[in-house]
Amino acid sequence: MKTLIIIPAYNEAKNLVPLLDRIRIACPDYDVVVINDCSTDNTLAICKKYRAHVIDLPVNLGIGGAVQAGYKYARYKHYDAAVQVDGDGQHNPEYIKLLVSELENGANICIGSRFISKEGFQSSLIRRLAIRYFSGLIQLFTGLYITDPTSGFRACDTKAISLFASDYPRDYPEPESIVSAARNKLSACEIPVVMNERKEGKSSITFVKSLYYMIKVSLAIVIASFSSRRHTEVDE
Amino acid sequence: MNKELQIIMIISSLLFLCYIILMLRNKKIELKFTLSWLLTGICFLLFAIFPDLLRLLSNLLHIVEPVNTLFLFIIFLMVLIIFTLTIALSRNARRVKTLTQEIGIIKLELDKLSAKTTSGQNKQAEN
Repeated sequence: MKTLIIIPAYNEAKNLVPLLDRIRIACPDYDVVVINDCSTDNTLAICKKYRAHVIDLPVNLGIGGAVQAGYKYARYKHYDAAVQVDGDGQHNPEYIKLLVSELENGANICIGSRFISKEGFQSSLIRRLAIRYFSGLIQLFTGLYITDPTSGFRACDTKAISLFASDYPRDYPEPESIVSAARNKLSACEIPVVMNERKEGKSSITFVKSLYYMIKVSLAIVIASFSSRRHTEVDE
Repeated sequence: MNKELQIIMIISSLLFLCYIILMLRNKKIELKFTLSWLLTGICFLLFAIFPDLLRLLSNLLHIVEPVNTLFLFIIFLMVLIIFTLTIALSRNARRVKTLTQEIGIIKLELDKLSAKTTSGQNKQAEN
C-alpha cells in the first residue's frame, strides 16, 4: 500500500525531529508530509533542514484545516492510505504499520485507542469522563462504539481520504469526523496503542476552552449525524 | 411621532443613503451586500416623511406608540442583515481555508520541482 503519513504541526519545533527519526526507523517505506500550520517558531526551518516534505500553510487554519490539507494532498497523489500522527510526540510511530494493516483487512478507518489495553498515558480523570461521554454520544447517534473518539492517531483508506479531503471539521475535528464517516457508510475499527504524555508545549485544549469544547463537539456530533451525505468519488 | 424625531430621521437617513451611494461610487463596497442597507435607508426616509404610514402600520399591529413599530421594524431588519453577514462570513471562511490548503500543496510541489531541477543542473555541471 502506498501510504502517506500526515503530521499536523503548530509550533512543534522541539518535538518534530525525534518524531521524524522514529518514523524513519519504524516505517522507512512510507512517505511523510508535515503540515506547518503557520507556526510562529522555526518548525518550517527544521523540516526543511531535515528535508521532510512540508505543506506550509500561509494562514493558520487550526488542526482540522491542517489535517484536511494533508488528506487533500493524499488524494491528489493517489495514496492508498493516509495515517494521521500528531506532531507533539504523543503517538508512537511503532503502531503505524498496525493501523495500516487493519485497512488491508477491509476497514475504512482504523483508530489507535489508548483505552483498550489501558496502558501508557491515560489523560486526566475529567478528560477520560469527557471522552467516555463522547463515546456514548457517538454510539447513540451512529451505533458505532469507539473507545477513544478524540484520538488523532488514525489510518484512512482511499474512501475515507476522499471524504475527509472534501469535508473535514475545522476545530476539534476527531469525534465529529467519526460520525461523518459513519454517516457516509464507512467502517471504523480500533486497535490498542500506547500513547505518551506531551513532551514539549501545551495541549491545544486549555481549561478555559473545555466548556466551549464540550458544547461545540456535542452539537457537532448531533448535527453531523443528520447532515447531508457526500458523494465520495474514489478516483482511480 | 414628534417633529424633532421626524427631522432627525430625515436628516440621518438622507446622510446614510448619500454615504452608501458615495461608497458604491468609489467601489468600496459591493452592490450585492448593499441592497438591504439601501432598502433600509429608503424605508426610514419614507417613514420620516410620511409618519401616517407608520401610524397606519401601528394600528394594524395594535401597537399604541408608533415609535415602537419603528423599533420593531429596525430590529427585524437588523437581525436579517446580521444573519446574512454570518452566512457571507462562513462562506468566505470556507473559501479562505480551501485556498490556503491549495497554496500549501502548490508550494510543496514547487519545492519538489525546484529541488529536482537544481539537482539536475548539478549533474549536468558535473558532466
